[in-house]
Formats: sequence, structure tokens, C-alpha cells
Amino acid sequence: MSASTPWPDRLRGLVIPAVLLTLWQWAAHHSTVYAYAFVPLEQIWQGLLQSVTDGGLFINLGASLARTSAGLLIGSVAGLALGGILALSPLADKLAGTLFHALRQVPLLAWAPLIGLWFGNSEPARLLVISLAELYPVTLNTFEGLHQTEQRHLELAGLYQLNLWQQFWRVRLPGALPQVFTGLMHALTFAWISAVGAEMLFSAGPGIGSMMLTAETNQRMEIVLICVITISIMGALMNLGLAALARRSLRWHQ
Amino acid sequence: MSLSLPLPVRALPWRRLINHPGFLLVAPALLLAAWQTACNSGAVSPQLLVPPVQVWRTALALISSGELWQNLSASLYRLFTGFVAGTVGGLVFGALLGTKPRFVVWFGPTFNLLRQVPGIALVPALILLFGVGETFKIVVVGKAVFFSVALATGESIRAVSGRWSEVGELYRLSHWQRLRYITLPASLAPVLTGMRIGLNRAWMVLVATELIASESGLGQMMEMARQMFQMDVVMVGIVLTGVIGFALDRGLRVIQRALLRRQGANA
Amino acid sequence: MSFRHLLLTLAGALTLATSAATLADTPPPLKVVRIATITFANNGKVGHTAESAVLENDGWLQAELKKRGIALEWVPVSPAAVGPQVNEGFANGRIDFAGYGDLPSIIANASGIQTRLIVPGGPGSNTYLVVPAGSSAKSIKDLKGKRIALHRGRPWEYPFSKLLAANGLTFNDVKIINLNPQAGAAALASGSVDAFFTLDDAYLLADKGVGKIIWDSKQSAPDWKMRAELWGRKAFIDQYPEITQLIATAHIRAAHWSAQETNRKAYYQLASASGTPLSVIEREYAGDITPWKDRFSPLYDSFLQDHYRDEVAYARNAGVIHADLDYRSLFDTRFVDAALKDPALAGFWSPRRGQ
Repeated sequence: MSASTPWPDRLRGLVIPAVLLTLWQWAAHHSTVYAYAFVPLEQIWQGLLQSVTDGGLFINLGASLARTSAGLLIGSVAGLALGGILALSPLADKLAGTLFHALRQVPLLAWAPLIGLWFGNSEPARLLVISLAELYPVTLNTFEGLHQTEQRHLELAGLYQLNLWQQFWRVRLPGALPQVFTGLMHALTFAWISAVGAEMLFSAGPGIGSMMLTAETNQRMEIVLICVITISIMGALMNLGLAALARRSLRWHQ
Repeated sequence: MSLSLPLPVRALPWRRLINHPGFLLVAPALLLAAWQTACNSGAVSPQLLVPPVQVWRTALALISSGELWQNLSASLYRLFTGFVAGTVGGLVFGALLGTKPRFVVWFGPTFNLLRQVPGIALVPALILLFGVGETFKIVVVGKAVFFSVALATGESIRAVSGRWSEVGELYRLSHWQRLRYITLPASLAPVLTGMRIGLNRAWMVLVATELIASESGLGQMMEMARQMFQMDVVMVGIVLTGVIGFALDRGLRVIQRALLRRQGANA
Repeated sequence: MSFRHLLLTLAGALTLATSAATLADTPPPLKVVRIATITFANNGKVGHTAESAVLENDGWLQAELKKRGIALEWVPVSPAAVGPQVNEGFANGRIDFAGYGDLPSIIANASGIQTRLIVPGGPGSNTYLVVPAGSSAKSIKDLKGKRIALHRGRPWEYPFSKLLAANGLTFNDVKIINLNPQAGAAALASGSVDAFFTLDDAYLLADKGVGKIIWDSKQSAPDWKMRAELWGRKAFIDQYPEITQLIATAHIRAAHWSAQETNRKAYYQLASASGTPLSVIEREYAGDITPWKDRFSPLYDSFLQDHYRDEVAYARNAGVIHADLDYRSLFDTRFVDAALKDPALAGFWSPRRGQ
């Protein structure tokens, strides 16, 4: 959905959510059992008002966003560098690639005991989890993108006698950009969700994950859902922003 | 990697050496050696870093007691079922997103919003809907795969049709021909990458789910070991999830490469 | 390109492997004492457990430490994984003290992490057995062969084993569904399990009309409750006995304050900072045969000795620990003995008998 989407189409996009919400509300009033997880909308609204008035939602959201940004920065830079090195140097790929792909497959949550043991259960541990979540998809997509340069483009580059640097900058990188952006988009979602996960795992201080965990412990399901909704909306906003950015830079490139 | 592109070859013996399949084992071997050295040096307490020998012994004990296999088979069953379901759903949904603008109008916003919902947060609701049995774990895995695959499929098809539609028109290709000769070949690589990301994600989510709610599975084994401070079992779990994930990823990669090569040969 | 790359990559792999070695450093010169405490993010504020809050409000410890140029640092721990995180913190020397559960402490010491019980006591949470609202089960006996949700490895596993044993049952007579508390609550609500063994969150389920409590530990011997008390890292205790004494004395001061009947209401208020409704806290502590004062008893009496003897034996038999452990080695009674010499505290608590 871009800014140019006509109004009727935007409204059509709201039909499915409306149907889902109606189903939700029906389930909420169906029985006490269903009301346990499908909290009535009016109750969610009350919880939202409360967490907005006492400032809890914003304090926690702000803390999580700051944490995500820090992890994002570390992870993206590392991922772009690693992906580039692995794609351009067959030696590095053969050597570190195997380890990278094996380590990448270990779920982040499984590292929790070792991260806790080696880095403690506080901020460094959380940043590490977020950066790793970011690192994997960015590396993978940078690698794939740089690798996919079509043979004839490279032959053309050879014809023009471009040196390695020019070849990289004028042929490979432009070809890789769409994929790199796909990687960043995947990674952004990952980083954001893993920030929340890290806050739940290594809980301390403000953070939307800590807020959700406390609410879960106290069975305040409406607060849990407000956290889930906030997390989802923030994720969607991040993706929209990045997609707009991708469109602009690709257009510029053409 | 056979896709490696011709960079100027300066040192031939190096080249031959690093292309040897055995070379892939160099890095893990070095890691293992460093790990054991660190343990032998006495600088690290065995509580902080379990020696590899101890991890190996624990692995053997877990194998002979049958515990490992029981957990492993439970996890793999959930992974495969969820992966297949999620991939099929994701391909269909993604293809619709990529080819039918009307579909995007109706379902796009919902898809993009739901994609952001962390699966773990849905566990209570899913338990309510599907019980605590296998179904809800498979649903959690399937959801993770579905969104990755659907996203990659939709995006790539759209990118392709944008970039190549003029070519299609120029050659007056029919709808079917365009799909056969342009869309499918050009979107194959990103879709396969989406599947690999989906598989990786599914593995991750599965372990998380097993942590929260399960009687069996590798995630459960590691969680119990963490509670009981059996870091050797945790390490066995980490190594095993890494190795299995790697093997699965390699499997998909072999398929990906074979398909892309065939495509290259046909072109 | 090749040689430099190779070296770089090798260096990378080595750094990765040896980073653990550099991290396992020796404790820094004493500038700060680190106490782990469960932390909640609630209503936009970060809250600690009631025990930590009482100690903080007292202010005595901070003042005493300040005289010696030492700061007090609360190291936050997630309520979802208290035992493991505290044990990991003790293992890597990032925390010096922690008030936490009895079973994780036993696990730590059986795994070679040396800690000592410095001050016994703490309120001790009751345990509850909840069944779905429409269930006809009246006691655990009716649940033979049924599905019971329980989070394995958590400290309330031991009280559950006592409940089974008291009714002539074993773990083999029921089907344990291993679920964390929030998943367990959902499973109970949906009827996917026939019962749920948990802490005072049982009242939340009852209030929502999805569960009913058919048993609680209030009428049972005090060791059916989940214990949580002050543990210290042995290396720290040996190195700084004087500071350890301050920590212990401060905790006993806090226990003495909390144990006064007149402070009970204020204690509830502090406990509700976790986000647990006040009504749940009131019910958790109401109608209990264990006297309020005794909940905070710091005595190493025969009751405590028996509790640890039995729990260590349980842990060994159930395969929770894989090495023998002498429960007596867990106690370091020096600090409580010294603190109770204070005339204001001496004789305040009287020893309880064992079983």
C-alpha cells in the first residue's frame, strides 16, 4: 500500500481485519473459557487507556526501540561486512562459511543459557541476541545478492576492463541491492521481535518484553495483547518505512 | 561453492586446497582445538566452559539411554510437518499476492500486520484453540514458515513482473508463457531463499515453543538441562541443533543449486 | 588475498573460542556488592520483590556500605527463569548474593557452583492445585491417570512430589504435561489438562471463572511451601566475611520488620509492586497455619535441616541432581548467629521442630 493507493482500495483492505475483530469479539463473549485468551475488545481498550495514562506503554516502548536500534546498527554493519567478505572471497566462504551456516542454525533461544553464563543476564546479553538476529539474514542476503550477478553482466564488465573495485561497485552491488534490501527487511522484523524476546529472556528494566512478561505472570491478558499489538504495529511501520526507502533508492539507481 | 565467480586466480595451489571437500572441516576442527585448549589451560572453570570431551561423553550417554533419539524425533516430526504445511500455504498465498493486484488490496494490509505478530505471544490463544498436543506446535512452526515463504514469493514475483513485463509484451507472450518463461525462472532463487529463511525461522520458533510448552523435543531437553545446570547437555543440544539445521539448510541449498543449474542449462 | 584472509579468519575463529576464557575473570577489587533480585516492569515502573523493597526502604545497608566506600547494586533477574539466571550469575561471578529458591540452590551446589545459605527465611509461597471450573475432581486422588500441567525443574516441583506421596501416588500415576505457568493457565482454561499445579496465580484463574482451587499448602507443614532465602557465593563470603555480615544483618533487620504483625499490611503493599493484585496477596497469606512471624524465621532449626535433607534426597532420587550432596555443607550459620546477638533480635524467633 503506497500513498497513491485510492481510498476505496484502502477501505477494502480494512474488511478482513474488521471480520477478524468481529470473530474475536464473538469468541470473547462466547464463554469464560474463550474470554481467557480472546479478551473482550472493551477490556483491551480499558487496558490501553490505563497503560497510556500511566505512561508505562511509552516508557517501555521507547526503551525497546532504543535497544533495537543499537542492536540493528551493530548487526547490520557486521552482516553487510561478513556477507560481502563471504561472497567475494571463496577462501573465507569455505573457511568461515561452514561455521557461519552451522551457528546460524542454532536457535537464538538455545544460546540463552550460554549467553547468560558468559555475558551475564543483562544489557550486553540482550544486545548480543538482537545483533545476532540481525546479522544472520543480512549476511545471508548480502551473500546471495552479490553471488547472483549474472554471468553476462560480468562478461560485459570484463569487456570494459573494469577492475575488481569497479566491478564490485558498478556491477555486483547494484545487482545485489534488491536482495540486500529483502535481507534488511527480514532482519528488521527479526531484530525487533528478538529485542522483545531478549527482554523476556533477560528481563530487566523497562522494555516492552519485560512489560509483557510481567503481564503474563499476572495473567493480565489485556496488557499482553496491547503489547502484542504494539509490537506488531511497530514492526509493520518499520517495514513500511524500509520499503519506501528501498523504492526510492532503487528508483534513484535506475 | 560452485557459484563462485571467476576472480583472478593468483595462487593455484591454494585454490585447489580450498576447493577440497575436506577443507570445510578445517574451521570446525580449529574451533574444537581452541575450545579444548582453553579448557586444558585451566583458565576457564569447567562450569563456565564444559570441555568437548565431556560433551562427547554426555552425548554418548544420551544416545545410549534413547533420550536423545526420542527428543530428536519429536522435534523433527514437528519441524517437517509444520514446514511442509507452511511452505505450501506460503507459495499459494505469495503467488496470489504477486500476481493478483485485487488480492493485495483485500489481503495485503492484514498480511503485513499479522506477519509482525510474534508467534510466541500467541501461545496461550493457540493452546486454547488447538490444545497442548502436537497440533499447536505444528501451527506455530507452520505460521513462521508461511510468512517467510509468502513474503519472498510475493515480492519476487512482483519484482519480476515489473522488470520484465515489457519484454513479455514485446514478444507477445501469453499469460501462461509469461509465467513459464519469465516469472517462474526469475523468482525461483528468491523463493528458495525465502524457504531457507523460513526453515531457519521454523527451527528457531520450534525450540522456543518446546521451551514453553512441551514434554519432549530438543528445546525441552535443553530447557530442562538449563534448569538443572547441566551445561554439558545444553552444549550437546546446541551442537546438535546447529548440525541438524546446517544439514537441512545444505539440503535445501543442494536442491536450490540443482534447480538453478538446470534453469541455466535450459536458458 | 589468500594468506591475509586465512589469517584473519583463523584469528576470528580463535577469538570466538577463547572469548569465554577472557570473560572468566577474577572478581574486581570490592567497589560494589551485587545482589540479584527478581524485577518486574509494571505500570511504567520497575519493581523488585517485597524482600528487596523492605531492605531498600530500611536504608541501613546502603549507609553501612557507603561508610566503607562500597555501592549496592541490584542485579535484575527475569521472573521467568530465576533459578537458572541466578545460578549462571553465581557461576560466572557476576553476582554475590541472591534471594531465591531452594531447589535451584541445591542444583547449583551439586553442579560444583559453591554457594552457602547465609540467612534462612523469606515468606515462602504457598502451592496450589487447580482444576477446570467444571471439573468434578475433589482431591489429587481423583486425578490418578489424568493430565496435570506442571513446569518441571521449578522449585514447586518438590512440594508437588510431597502432595503425590502423601496421597500414595507417584509421578508415574499421573501424566505430567510440562508447561510454563502462562501456558499452563491457558491449558487449564481450555480443558486440555485436568489439573494445574502452581503458585498464587491460581487465584487469578479462579477469579476469571476458568479454574477452581481444590488444594493448597496452607494447612500443611511449612515445608510444603516453596522456600526462597538468601544465598551467597562462597568465594565472596570467604574473601569478605565482614561485608557478608552486613548483608546478613540487613536481611535479618528486614525480616524482623516484615515479621511484625503491624507491618503486615505495608508488606502486602510492597509485594503488590510486582503487579500481583492486592486481593491475591491477601488471600495467599490468609488462613495459613504457619504463623506470620515464623515465615521470616532466620533460624537453622531442625525444621530447616530436615527440609534440606529431604529435598536433597528427593533431587538425587528424581535425577534432578547427578552427584551426592551433603545438605549440612550448604549452611554457613556464622552470620545469623552474630546478628542475633543483638538484644533487639535475640529470642524474637523460637526454633521449630523437624518432622
